Amino acid sequence: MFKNVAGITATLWILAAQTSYGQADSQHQRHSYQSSDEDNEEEPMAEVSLDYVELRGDNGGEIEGDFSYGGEQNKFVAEVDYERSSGEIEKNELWALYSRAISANWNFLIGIRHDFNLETTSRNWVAVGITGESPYKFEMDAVFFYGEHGSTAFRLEGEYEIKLAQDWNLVPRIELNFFGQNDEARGSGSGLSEAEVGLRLMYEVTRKFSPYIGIHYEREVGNAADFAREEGEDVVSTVWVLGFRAWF
Amino acid sequence: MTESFRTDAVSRRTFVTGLGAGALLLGLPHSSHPNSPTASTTTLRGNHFDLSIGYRQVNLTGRERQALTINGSLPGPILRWREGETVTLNVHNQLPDKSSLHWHGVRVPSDMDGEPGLSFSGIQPRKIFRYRFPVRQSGTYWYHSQSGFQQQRGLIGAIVIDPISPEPFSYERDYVVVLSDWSDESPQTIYTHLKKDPDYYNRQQRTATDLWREVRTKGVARTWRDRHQWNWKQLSDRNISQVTGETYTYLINGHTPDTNWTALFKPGERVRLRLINAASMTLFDLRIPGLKMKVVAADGQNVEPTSVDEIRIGNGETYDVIVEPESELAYSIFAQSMDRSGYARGTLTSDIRLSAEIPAMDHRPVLTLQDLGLARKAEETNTHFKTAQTAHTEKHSDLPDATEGGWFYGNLAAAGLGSNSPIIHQPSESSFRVDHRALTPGNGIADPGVGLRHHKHRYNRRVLTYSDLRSSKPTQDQREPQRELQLHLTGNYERYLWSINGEKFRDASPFLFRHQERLRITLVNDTTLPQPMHLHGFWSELETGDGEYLPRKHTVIAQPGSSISYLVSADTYGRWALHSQMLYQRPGMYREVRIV
Repeated sequence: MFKNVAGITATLWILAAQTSYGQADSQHQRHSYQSSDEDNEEEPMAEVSLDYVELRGDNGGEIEGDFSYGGEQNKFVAEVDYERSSGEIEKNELWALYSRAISANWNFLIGIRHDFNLETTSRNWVAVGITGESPYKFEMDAVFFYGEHGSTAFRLEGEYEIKLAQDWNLVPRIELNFFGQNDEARGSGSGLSEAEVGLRLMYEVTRKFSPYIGIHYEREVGNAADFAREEGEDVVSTVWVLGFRAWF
Repeated sequence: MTESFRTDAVSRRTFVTGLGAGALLLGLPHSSHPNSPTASTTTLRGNHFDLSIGYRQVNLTGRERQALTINGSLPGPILRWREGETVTLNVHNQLPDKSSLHWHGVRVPSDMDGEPGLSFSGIQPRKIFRYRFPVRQSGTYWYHSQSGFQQQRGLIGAIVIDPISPEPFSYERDYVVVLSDWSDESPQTIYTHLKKDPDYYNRQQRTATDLWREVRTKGVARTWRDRHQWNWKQLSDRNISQVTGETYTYLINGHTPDTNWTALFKPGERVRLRLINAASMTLFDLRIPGLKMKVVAADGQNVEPTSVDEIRIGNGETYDVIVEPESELAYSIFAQSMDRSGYARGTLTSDIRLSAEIPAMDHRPVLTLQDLGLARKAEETNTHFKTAQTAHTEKHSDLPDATEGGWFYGNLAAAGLGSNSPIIHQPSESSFRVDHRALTPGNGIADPGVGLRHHKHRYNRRVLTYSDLRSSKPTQDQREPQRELQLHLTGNYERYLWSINGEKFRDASPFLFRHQERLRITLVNDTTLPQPMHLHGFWSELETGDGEYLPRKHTVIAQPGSSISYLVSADTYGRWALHSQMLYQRPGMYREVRIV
């Protein structure tokens, strides 16, 4: 499974490297000499963001990142979200989204999310949501999911960047997962099912690469907590993390 | 409203000041060691010129890079014309891509303006384009490529036009000072960085330490109130320059601070310096410590001489100053970038062996509520505009009528006073392209600009403002403006999108001016960055208060969160451009002006 995600990430990386670096360097002469009537054309841009690539203290880890390609208003976004804790895969998602700028600070998202086979079968969701920055500069993602057999879910993610110094950032992060129904097999319960809170200290080696250390706290809530207790699993876990953030 | 400054004036990283001795100085045959009198770039005189656009390896920072050159030189040769003559310029494009040369500030027929897509289709690779036009003005101007980001790679040069009639001032020495910004990164890379992370080059961002300092000095409540304006709008008060000394090396006539462009004088001589800001993304604050600068011309046009200590030169602008060094000393020509992330430096000396101390950079500016466009009170204290402003508030029925597209008719303020029209944000401004609108913008005419507002008090320097400019000749077109166009300069900093009235060039229709009409253009800067706006083809007659002596400019800085007005006589048919001179904002913040 890990290979699966790693493979996808690598593909995205290569894809983006070809598009963005091709643009920036090997062809820079073409671009920089271009004349302004052509310049005013909207040139699509490709970007890869690896927001969290980390190892966690409990034999776990996370890869969260995306590849986007598009113009000023409309973009295609492919997103990867892989999470593993205590040797068990918690998330193994691949998203394909259409993103549209709808206001100065917000984008509308619509697309599909595919959850690769966990312990049971793979699942598909229709994802609809918004992503952007709220007043006071909170990075937010709020996505509603509609799955097969009428299942529903909602995920709310928030992140804030506290600049301690020009190249030191402290990044608190929160993620809340809600479900419309119980799913004992997957360990999720209706209502708020799981909450994650993290705090990471990042050092910008360059603008594009920041290694970090931090702590990650995770807690099952409500029915999900009951399911976990029945399975004899921990409801709460706090682990250290070590990783990096990068974009290009 | 007081302006606050950061107290830590020294950057963690220092910008690249050049190579020390032995730099490759293109087009400067006699200059190789730092203190040689590098009088100026090659000067071409006459009325027939052969210019060749090519490229060449340069080494300005210790690394070899490819620069674009004109006749092999960076910056290009100084073109010296004579008023009244007709000049012919054969421009040979030796690049593998289209190119162009635009004569910035020179009034030419539309098809000779060199604006790709409007006046012609650009100069095709390996083709020659013949420019030919009568020279009907005199003074200091400049030329540059208008194709893509070629200007950033070095396609810039000075134009000096000698007048038919004698000038109202005299001098013994005459030097051209071309300021520019050089990067080892390709312009496309810089643009991509800005698109993906607009703070990429900003090493002066707000940190927790700043907040702590403010809480200690102002208390929690006041700090919260002050911060709220910025936080709520998701804007930063530390966005001073977008591209900074992080990547730029600032040049004078192609010389780095280390290779020190040097000009000679004999004590007692009057030295005319023709200051040209040919930078792509940099506003410079220029001074010569120890010398007063007598400003005699702005954007090539003579003004009533006025003595100042410091001048902010927006990109695209030119100023002619006369200095009179009395003693046998050396003086530094010191031009800091607006955000104090670096400087260009040259030397004015009576002895080649001497050079002057390089001054420390000034305090770093921080934006204020005035720059957010919340400063109506500041306008009321400005006497020039009090009249217009009072009339405006007292007689509501006499307000000019606005129609679609920001046009106003009737009951306009008299020529010279500037606009008294209400600030109207067009519906197109409520787009994802616009992150902020100035709600109560003050008039920026008397504002020295971000970071210079308290220089009298802080450094005892007199800083030039637009309100100091008074044409030395009476205003030619004495008509009152028949209508007024209010344009909003807009952008979305985080998305790095720039526009006018919230519409980018490709989506917008041209502004139509009637041939021979006299009109007012009011720029309202809804961004928090100063925008040097260049109108092709016509004079922008800046409304500094006295309608009888309006200074004629071609590039006008619209201060952040402020408005500024100028009059235009639309006397030449054709298709013209009105755009931001900030190179990487230009593609969006650009409009066509068509004279019909």
